[in-house]
Amino acid sequence: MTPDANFIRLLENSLSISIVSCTVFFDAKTFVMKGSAVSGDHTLEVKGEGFACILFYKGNCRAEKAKDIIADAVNLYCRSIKEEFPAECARRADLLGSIVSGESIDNVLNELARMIVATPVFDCVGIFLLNEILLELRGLVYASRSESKKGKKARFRSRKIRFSKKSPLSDVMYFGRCKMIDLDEIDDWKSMRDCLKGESYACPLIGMDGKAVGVVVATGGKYSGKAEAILQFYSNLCSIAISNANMRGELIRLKTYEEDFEKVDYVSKDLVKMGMLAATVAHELKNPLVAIGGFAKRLAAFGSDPRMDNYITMIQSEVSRLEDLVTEILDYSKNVDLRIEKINLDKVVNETLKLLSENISIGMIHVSKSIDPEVTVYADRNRFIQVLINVIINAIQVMPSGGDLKISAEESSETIILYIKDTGGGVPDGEMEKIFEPFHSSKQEGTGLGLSLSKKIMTAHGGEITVSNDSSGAVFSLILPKTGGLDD
Amino acid sequence: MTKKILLVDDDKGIIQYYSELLESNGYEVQVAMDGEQALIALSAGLPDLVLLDVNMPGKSGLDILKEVKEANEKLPVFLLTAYEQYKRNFSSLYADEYLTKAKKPEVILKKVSDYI
Repeated sequence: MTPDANFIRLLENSLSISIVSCTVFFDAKTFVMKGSAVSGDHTLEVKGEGFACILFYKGNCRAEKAKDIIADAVNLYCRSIKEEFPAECARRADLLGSIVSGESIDNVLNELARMIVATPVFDCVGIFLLNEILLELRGLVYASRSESKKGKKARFRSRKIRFSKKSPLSDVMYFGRCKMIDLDEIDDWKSMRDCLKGESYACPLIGMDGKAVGVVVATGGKYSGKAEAILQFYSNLCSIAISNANMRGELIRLKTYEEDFEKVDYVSKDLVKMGMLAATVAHELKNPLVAIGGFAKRLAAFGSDPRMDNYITMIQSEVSRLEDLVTEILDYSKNVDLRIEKINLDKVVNETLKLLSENISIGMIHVSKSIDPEVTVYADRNRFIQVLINVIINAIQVMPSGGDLKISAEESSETIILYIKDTGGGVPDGEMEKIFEPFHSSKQEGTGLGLSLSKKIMTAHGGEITVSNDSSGAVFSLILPKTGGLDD
Repeated sequence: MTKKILLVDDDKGIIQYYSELLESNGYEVQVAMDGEQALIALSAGLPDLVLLDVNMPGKSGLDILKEVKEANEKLPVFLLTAYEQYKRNFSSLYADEYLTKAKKPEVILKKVSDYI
């Protein structure tokens, strides 16, 4: 990129405007630089020592602040023309070059930190990145002028600052405002005091979506509008560098997974179609099945040949198996309507265990239970029992030669979690994510709808069902909110 | 004097439910069906409290929260969500309360009366 193009770009990026032209009068000559915009709506005239500049641009920027930045940049530009002091301008241009060419973000932030402390107004600077989910600042790039002068690189420290309540620093990021803050007022700042403390300037780093992705904090002796404008300029460069790096990362990720996305899309579309088809087929099958079953029953009344009796019994058992399957598919394809009521968790679990007592004793399952008899949940009794049955039957089936089933409950301020733990060796690694998908079954028997339906029911409750493995088997967690729907 | 609450939600059922609940407990309720309407209502005069749905088409509750707090830091704003998972972000520092819509009516009324 030519120095002129770099200069225009530097101004555009740091002032967030589109430049039509920039005319510099210096040393009895006129230098005209063209920008990216074709039409403009503002002009700004800046006069400095030995130079004047007219900027014609489109967009809004605060004229007072902009004048400082422009004066600074034109001054450097003029010096570079006279070849008096091209170093600093070249350094900024180099930095922009490295952002454009995709240099590692660590190196770019390091260089930026060093450039900030190289200005006369700031001694120390920290560049922090925000993890908004954890509400933590981390990945600090820190440089101080004294260290920088000794030729030391900016240090990368992985310190964390957590926000448990709002503070002047969180204001800077939340409202996207650059301002002066007192670091000593901020909770959790103690661990940072050896780098940065007391009065300082803070500027937010803004990501592509306009939200804060971090913050630049700088301290020094002399504070002025100029200092603020300078920090704003460098923090804008940081924002551009971070956005650029994120976009590159995202692009690579998207390209890599493009094929996978297509595959997933295909599978999910397929699943929807399959579900619809299954529901239709199931519906159509139901009537003939009832008829076949009924006629087989009547046929049995005529029977005298023991072979015929045997065949009829087989027909009946197969029909009843098919009927169960059809009911299950129909159940799955229906919407879940809930009748929420306050139910005693321990009682419901006991009721379910009683229903399953035969399966439990045949399966040689030892059941132990620890649930506070006082705990109540808001749920649809029958639907919740259906979920319990699905999960417990599943547990019994993964322990073909017997095992332990542990049922316990845990209460937090917002939720009640029921844990159902088996000793069946756990869910294989690759199956974890698929286990709640419809038609997924690792067993010979079953439709692969039981757990999927359970998930649907739990979600309809505003709750969740999750699975994890412990040392001996799988742990299913049924999570229910403490209160039910709106009409409780 | 009757306390005024601005209720912002795009779901008619929720609007009706909360309006009736609050009005029957002596509050005056002003309704906005989306973010834009909420901002217009706020510019016309400040309520004593704002009940704000997070998930709305157009301007989300989180956008409105930011604009409200930027202009009037002290005006209490409760965020209403269907799920708990919204809790972790900056908005949780700036919203005065985070309530799930499934909360019992007495819980919501108690929280409101704590503020106004």
